[in-house]
Amino acid sequence: MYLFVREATAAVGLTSLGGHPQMVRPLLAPMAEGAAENKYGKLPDKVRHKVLAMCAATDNIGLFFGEDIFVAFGAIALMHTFLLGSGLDVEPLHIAFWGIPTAICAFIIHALRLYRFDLMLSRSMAEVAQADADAAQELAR
Amino acid sequence: MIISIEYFYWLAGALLLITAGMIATDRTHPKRWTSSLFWALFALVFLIGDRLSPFVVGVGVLVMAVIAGIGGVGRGAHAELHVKAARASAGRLGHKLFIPALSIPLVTVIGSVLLKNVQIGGVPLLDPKNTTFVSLGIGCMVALLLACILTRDTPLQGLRESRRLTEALGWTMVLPQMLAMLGLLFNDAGVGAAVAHVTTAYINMDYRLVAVMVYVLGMALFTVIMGNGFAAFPVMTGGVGVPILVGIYDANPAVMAAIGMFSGYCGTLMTPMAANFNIVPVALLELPDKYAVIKAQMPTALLMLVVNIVLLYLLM
Repeated sequence: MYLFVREATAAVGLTSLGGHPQMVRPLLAPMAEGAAENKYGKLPDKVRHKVLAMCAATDNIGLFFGEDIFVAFGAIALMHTFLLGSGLDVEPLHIAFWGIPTAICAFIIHALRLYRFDLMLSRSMAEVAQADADAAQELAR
Repeated sequence: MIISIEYFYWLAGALLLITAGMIATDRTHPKRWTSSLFWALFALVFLIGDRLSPFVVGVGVLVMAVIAGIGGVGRGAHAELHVKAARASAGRLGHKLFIPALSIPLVTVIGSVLLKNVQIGGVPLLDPKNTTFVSLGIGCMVALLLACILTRDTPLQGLRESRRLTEALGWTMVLPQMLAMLGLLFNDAGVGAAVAHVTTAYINMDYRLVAVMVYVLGMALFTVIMGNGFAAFPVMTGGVGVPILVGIYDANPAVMAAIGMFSGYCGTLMTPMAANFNIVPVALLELPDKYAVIKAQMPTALLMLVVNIVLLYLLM
């Protein structure tokens, strides 16, 4: 569930609909936090902060590696102009095209990292739950 | 040619001039005159930049930099569509709303691939040197038309929204152009040659892989220092990319540029200098650790640098 939310938002980030003030703060962060709390119950502050930081990071990565595929982006124009200045005439469309392999790799790598993050989250939450259970047992005794 | 890139420069100039005019007549605007002047100067560069002497344009750019530097570019209040009305209209249109947005890349690709060599009466239809950008311009106009038809709104609302967006972006909107020029300037001033000299003097570039690594890692390093990939790109591409990767190893410039820029972005993910991406969100999310976002991004960025080295080595 949690991974799914992150994956979907990464894809949204890839179409660069995002932006920190507009998307992450009001939408993505509460969504991810809510999803995680649904699954594991109340999060300790340390874990909660990690989830939020990961949200911001995901938006950045999706945006950076997504935008260059679109020819209208300023960076493509910049590369085109600079190469022209160096005497190399390159179609802007080709620059955008050769950005695709990197963008795909970025997506895969980050998705894998999110998956591992999710596993780590399960583990640390299980530890917390275990500790809580131990404490409760102590108390019962 | 029948459709020249010039026309779109004029259109962009006219749009900016209208924005400047709207701001000038807006009595509630907090920074009415300086903001208006800023956008008017930018508009002039588009409209008659090629007929002005470089000195005049240079002075204009400096004035713009001063205005932005003293915080003179502000945002006004806007006659935005009523929130409820916008919601209702969005609900009615649903997924159709994406049609205009998707038409832009679609028309751009069709135009630059299919209409590239179309001629009418021996005259090329699209500006042969700038097919992609001309197609993009046409795509945007098609999108505006579709959007007006779908929402039954007027192009006038489009102008208002254009002003809103221009003001929301503020002076960062001129950054790509300015930095592209900075890059050419660096080149003419010999910064690229200096970088090339330093790298070739200390690093053995006889190995293709080493040259690729220097380009990719150097790009990331420069970006970390400067906080912006756009500023690092001209230095590294002028210094290593063009003379060594293209000059000696015969790399495809498009591949080199695309992967080089992405390497710069990896640097952006790792530097506190890129405050709007890495530091601002920390404040927005109220995180206690100032570097929390950078720490979360670091592993992806480092892995991506490795991937970039491999990809550039294989694809160039």
